[in-house]
Amino acid sequence: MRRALYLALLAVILSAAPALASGPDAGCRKCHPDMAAPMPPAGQGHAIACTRCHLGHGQASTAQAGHAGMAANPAALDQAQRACGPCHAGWPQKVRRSPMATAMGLINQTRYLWGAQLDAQPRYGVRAEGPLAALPSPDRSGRPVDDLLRRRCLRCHLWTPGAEADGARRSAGCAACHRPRDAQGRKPRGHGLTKKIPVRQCLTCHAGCGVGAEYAGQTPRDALAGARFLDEDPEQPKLWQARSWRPMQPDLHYKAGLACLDCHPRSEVMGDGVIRPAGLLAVGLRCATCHGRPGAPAQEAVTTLGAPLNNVTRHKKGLVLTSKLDGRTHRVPALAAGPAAPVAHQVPQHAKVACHACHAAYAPAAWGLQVQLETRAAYHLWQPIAAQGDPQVWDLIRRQMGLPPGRRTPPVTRDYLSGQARPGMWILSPFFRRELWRVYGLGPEGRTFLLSPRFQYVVTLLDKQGRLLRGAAIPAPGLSLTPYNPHTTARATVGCAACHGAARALGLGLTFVQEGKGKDGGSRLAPGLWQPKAEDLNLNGDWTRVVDLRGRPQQALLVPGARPYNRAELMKLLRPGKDYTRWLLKALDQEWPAKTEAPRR
Amino acid sequence: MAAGKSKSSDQRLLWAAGYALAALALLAALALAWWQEAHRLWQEEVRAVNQARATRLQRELLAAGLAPARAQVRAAALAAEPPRVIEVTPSAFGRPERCLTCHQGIEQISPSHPVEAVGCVACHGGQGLGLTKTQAHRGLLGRNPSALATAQASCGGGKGAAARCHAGRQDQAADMVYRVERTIMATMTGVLTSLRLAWGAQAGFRARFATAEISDPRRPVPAPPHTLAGLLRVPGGQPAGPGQAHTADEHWRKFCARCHLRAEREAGHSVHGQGCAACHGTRTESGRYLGRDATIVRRQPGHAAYHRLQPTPPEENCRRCHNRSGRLALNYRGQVEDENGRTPWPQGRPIYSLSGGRGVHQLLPDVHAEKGLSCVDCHSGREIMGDGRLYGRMRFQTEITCATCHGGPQGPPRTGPPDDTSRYEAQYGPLKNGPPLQGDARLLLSAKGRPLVNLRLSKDGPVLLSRSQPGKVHRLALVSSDPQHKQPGHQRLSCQACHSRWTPQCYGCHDYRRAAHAMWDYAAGQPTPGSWEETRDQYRFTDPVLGVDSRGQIRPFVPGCQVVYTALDAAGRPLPGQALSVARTKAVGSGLVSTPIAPHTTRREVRPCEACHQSPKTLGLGPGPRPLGRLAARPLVDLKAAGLAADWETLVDEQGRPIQGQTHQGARPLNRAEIGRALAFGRCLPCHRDPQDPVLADPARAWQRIGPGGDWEAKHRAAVEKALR
Repeated sequence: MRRALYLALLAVILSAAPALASGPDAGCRKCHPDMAAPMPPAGQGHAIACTRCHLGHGQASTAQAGHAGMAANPAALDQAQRACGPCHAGWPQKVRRSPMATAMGLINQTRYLWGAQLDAQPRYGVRAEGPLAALPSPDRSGRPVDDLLRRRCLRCHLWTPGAEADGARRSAGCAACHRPRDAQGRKPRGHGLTKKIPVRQCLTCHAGCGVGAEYAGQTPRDALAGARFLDEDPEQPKLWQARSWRPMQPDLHYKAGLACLDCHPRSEVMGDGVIRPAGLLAVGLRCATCHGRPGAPAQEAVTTLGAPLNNVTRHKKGLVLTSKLDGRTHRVPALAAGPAAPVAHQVPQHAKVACHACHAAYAPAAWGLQVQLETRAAYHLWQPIAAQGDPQVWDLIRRQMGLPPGRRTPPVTRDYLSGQARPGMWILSPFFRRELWRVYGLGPEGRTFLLSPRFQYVVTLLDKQGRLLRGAAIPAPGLSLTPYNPHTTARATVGCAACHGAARALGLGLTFVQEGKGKDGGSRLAPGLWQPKAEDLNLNGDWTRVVDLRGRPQQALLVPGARPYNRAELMKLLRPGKDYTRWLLKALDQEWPAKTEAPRR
Repeated sequence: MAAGKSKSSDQRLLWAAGYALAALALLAALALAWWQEAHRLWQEEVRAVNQARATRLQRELLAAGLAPARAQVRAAALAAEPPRVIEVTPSAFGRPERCLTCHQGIEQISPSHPVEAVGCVACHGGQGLGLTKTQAHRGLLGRNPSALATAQASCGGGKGAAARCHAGRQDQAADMVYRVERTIMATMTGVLTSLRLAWGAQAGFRARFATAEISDPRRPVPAPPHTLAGLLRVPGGQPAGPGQAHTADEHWRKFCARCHLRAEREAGHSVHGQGCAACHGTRTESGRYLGRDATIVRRQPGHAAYHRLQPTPPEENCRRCHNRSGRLALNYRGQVEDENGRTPWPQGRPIYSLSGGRGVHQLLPDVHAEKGLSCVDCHSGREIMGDGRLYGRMRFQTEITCATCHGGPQGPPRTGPPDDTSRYEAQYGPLKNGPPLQGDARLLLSAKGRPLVNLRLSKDGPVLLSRSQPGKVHRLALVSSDPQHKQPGHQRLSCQACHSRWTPQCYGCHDYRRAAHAMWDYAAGQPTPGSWEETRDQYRFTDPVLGVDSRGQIRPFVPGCQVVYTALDAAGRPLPGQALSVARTKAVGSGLVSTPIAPHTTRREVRPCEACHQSPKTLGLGPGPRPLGRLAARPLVDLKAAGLAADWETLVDEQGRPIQGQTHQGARPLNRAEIGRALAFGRCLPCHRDPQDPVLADPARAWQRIGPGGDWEAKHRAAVEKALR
């Protein structure tokens, strides 16, 4: 049957191009002579005809005839199996099952937190794929969360191209990564795919929500227009991905010239065909993969999932990483051991502490997330926070505010999955955007990990007439955090007191340990600083309160294996004992030697 | 030719005559209208007023649920009331006044100014016997006679000795108008001097300019400390150039000058009248009149809500101005500015409750606010209305400190006998109905050694008599009752260093000036070229960072203000050399200024000792991670990419050199030795944290013995090892 189709296709091509020169795509080249970049690149494999990937009629003499049945982006996920699969066997299937294509972590966790499904197990994906069903439309499911996901969150996955905004433009499918854009998001001239994927291309999705942009030294600014400091003219803001960014110190690996792909192996990025309950579990890369542990340098770079880093090789003096982008080599430093090593590296209990717990310079996070479905033409309310990272919302508010108040129309925004427009727009705003609130818990491997809200939802819904259906309610279970390894690595560290004795860091809320003991002989905490109840928000404690003093979790951690500290751990970390003091004194000697002064009378 | 000429001149004549006639007719009509208006019978005016009253009554009755027919009847009765003259002869003056003929229903201004005694004319001027508006309002002192331009004539009662009220009095305390004209809230010279200093518009710390030219002819000789002989009016006119130094005065006139006693805000959160009414008046955010005088326009802002002065200013009146810069009135109630659209949205909208589209989050309030104290319960009349002297800075005018009420580590608060001012305040002030001030009473003394009328030594110890809640008495907690306060080495700490729970941190202030646009100039009273905008970098509430204030006390520091300046051309492009510039002057240092503050976020609970002794951040060395062996944090912001000179939260570098500027003369970050000492103790802290520990009683002696070369050095080391085994 298929062969018959191919024959028919061949017949059509031949009949359409009797007068043309030889070659199955000679017709294409007549109009597209500047599509010079060959596929595959020169010297690798055999040159292939345009029609091999793009379909259409390669020997047609008119554009119309030639373009009939053509696939403009053969790398889109619904084409890739046909177009790329024959040569890159297995990859299209793996990519379709990768978290970047299914978005299953985002979808199932959010649905669970909004009470739309009983657990956060992978049930739904962007499309039906393996065990995953396609995310239902809100009309069918009756769940507002499905609408939020479709019209706001699911801008970023491999099934759809990026949005039309600086920093967000990209293709769909394989080309999302393998066909990088320039700084303005324009397609490069000509045509071609590359394996040298720059950081900026990864950031078209991995920015503003989880790990990503901070690696290159960018963190989102607060949304209020008055908090945009550096724009030269406040009336002409320079936005990137429809929001404003603060330039921060990049990760030291970025400064050294390493791109995302230099560390993350192919099987992690494009997937290994396994669907896991959380995206984090697909990442087998650890700092130790290259750097080993103190006193035990890595002998070969293999992730915990068994994937080798094929750009890291062993030399006499240790591992050497060769950058996939520029070919430069980097010696991988081994971690010092022995009495001269940083004290924190000597502490045996710190084997259970992830490197970033101390070495992440800052942890950008959005604490508390108010979400509202807005159906009124009340754009003036949202204008001050219009640059909130969604190109649709930014464009809509700016366009409508350009009209006189009487001529503004209620908002209509597009479903990123179906392309369909529906009334209303989703407005999002965090309560507190912070870089310096470090809150810890245990990651999936039982190591101390930073936690980041993902997310802590407060939901306001309006009906189609703009009447209030639900006002600032926290859905059940509602609040969640995820183990978070901010890519802000620095050689400098935050010091012992960042965790030990620091109530907020241990997940007890915006508070501190008071001198003296509490009624039950335990620690006494100062009252929490922020008062959500005074703001009509039914929340005990605050966003950074992950656990109470008795070790009872106050929020959900949806990555299997992750949890807040338990009571025993809290007690040990809050009221440091002799062991800690011994190490602390050593650390202080090391941290600021000879910088202290004798007390004065 | 000639015929044509005469024809055309005839025509011209005709036209001219026509024009003349029309003009005459118009003039006659105007004259008639004027004559009618001027000679309108007063009865007609009163009838119009009655009609207005009737309309309002009807609306009120309908709103109260009365049947429309009955409301109609009662309104008609009021409208039909025959005009009659209402005459009052105020007992203080003995001259009859007929103002109430029209202004029926107007609220009594205050119980101490009953209309029967004071009348209207004493305050408002005008002709009390006039019956029509034109006659009666001749020489009127305006809508708000307490504005400082007219206060001398109205509140002062300047019409002869018999009528002296709040001015021209021998008793300095009673000479309110003189005092208020000179109070820092009227001169605003502190803000202006800080701004001029930091922007490089003046070289020295001496205050030179104010909202209006003012001098103090009654200043005693020798002059009391920190008082000034006089101040000049802030310079007006166009800046001499686009640079920051040239534009400082204009920036003040267009931005800062909205809030002082000579300025009015007609509506909005910061609504306030001028002069006495700014604090004692009653305005609402709509800025509209809500009272019962039917002659007062109700559709326009710029009116007091009621014709009422409050003897004790309510806290909301303080908040109208004190919600910017240090934001003390917000901090006190635990309110902190938001920067993400003031979530949550229970009503489906962000709540921007402050001026300039600002909203607030609710944090823990100050403990004094929790106990029911309002601003005026602590702050004395002399602090607020001034003591008659001119001061260059707010801190020179304020008199109270925490120790005024709570004493110090060594003993209870200082007390003394009442003076003239406290006796005057006891008799006429908000406490006049409270417990009488006995001759042998002991009052608590301010930092200037002056007795404060509401702080008394009772049998059970010092108490505060509440002004905001008359009758309420607060017993004052004493610092000396807790021995922790006596720990050596903490003598220079202000109470705020430990007891402030948080400080508002408005990091980075980017000021843009557009030469091409015009903006309202509060000094010129009209728009002038040059418009201003401000953005900030981040607003945070953080654990206080400490420095040394101008009195040598260790105290929280906040940004104040960290100004980066850009001058834009008509297209919004920065002028050459005027983009993101930071001033630098000899007196101040960097134009990024940090300032000592009393944050008004006091709590009983204090940060743990480690919060200072193991935290270089609190000591001013910056947030963020530190390289091993270094004290100073690496800035988290990429300063180069951001175009910035310094990190917002870092006051000092590792060598003890200040990074940020100071507009308070003598204030500075902690120096190297101070930082070194504080951190040195951080090493002792894990073992020596019990307040009774002898090491804490004399750390210097302990250090001498166990430090390098001390006779107990080896012994201590062995003891540490043993203790930690």
